Amino acid sequence: MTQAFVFLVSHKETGFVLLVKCPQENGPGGVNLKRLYDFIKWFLYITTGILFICALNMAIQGDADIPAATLWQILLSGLLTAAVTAFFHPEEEGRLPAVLNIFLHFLALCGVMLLCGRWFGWLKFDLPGIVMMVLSVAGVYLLSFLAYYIIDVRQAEQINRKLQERYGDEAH
Amino acid sequence: MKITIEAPKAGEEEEIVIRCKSLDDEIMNLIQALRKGRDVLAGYAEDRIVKLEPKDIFYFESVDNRVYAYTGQEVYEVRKKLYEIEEAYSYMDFLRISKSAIVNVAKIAYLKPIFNGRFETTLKNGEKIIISRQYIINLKRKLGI
Repeated sequence: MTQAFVFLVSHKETGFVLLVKCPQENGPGGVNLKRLYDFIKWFLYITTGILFICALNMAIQGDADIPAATLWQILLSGLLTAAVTAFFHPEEEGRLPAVLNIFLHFLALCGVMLLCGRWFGWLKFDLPGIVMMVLSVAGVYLLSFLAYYIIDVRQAEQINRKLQERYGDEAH
Repeated sequence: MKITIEAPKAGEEEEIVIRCKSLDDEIMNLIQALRKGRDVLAGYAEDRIVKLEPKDIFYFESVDNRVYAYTGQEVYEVRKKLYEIEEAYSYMDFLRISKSAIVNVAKIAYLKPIFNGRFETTLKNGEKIIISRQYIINLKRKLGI
């Protein structure tokens, strides 16, 4: 029987809590577990980022109460932006140059968040409102980049240590 | 691992016997290497053909449907497909690191993260190549991490 999903409570590289570990590429019924894993990972990162920006915004504006609907709206916008991210696969090698892919991904995220903002009444659809939303998306984007960079630094250290152990003495 | 070499008796065939507790990856790689014999690649330069020892190759790269082998200083065309090279030499230290490149892991000096989940890999000859995140997991697996 295929070992499809392994639910974990911790992520060994980051120490953060993650929901799913993906042990192999394909699960039952040809489900691409890597894609599913990536999607859930993006959803967690982005939702955390949106939550952080919202909390910051509320703290600045002095809002004390959060309507229950806002929590669902945050989750839904996290889901939509994770779907957009899964489409662009910014961390995989694609046909587009990396910088262009990032730019298009960022534009798409801004588009989704502007639509969500309008739909949920998070912003006034005028220039300051749009600028504020774009800056917020940029903030979440930077936070995600930072989280990834920290993970990557750890991975690189781990790999470099192993390379040194195994091939350190070999002359080229 | 103890290595014993014995001369066969007159009339006996040459034979390699592997005595091991389990057939782990290392032993399987050894068996594969023995079966393949000495792998030597033909490298084509402008006016000459040279024998390339895989261990001397830093990386292979596919450019415009041609595959090139990069040694420390030289570049040779190799008349094989990248996937053929990947299949033939995966038992050694070679590893696919992008759609268009296979690196000799033994020739990596170090790597460091750059933006967007990519890793800049510095080889032992100072050359730099990029590994994307999707292939990092394979590198970690190859290194037993």
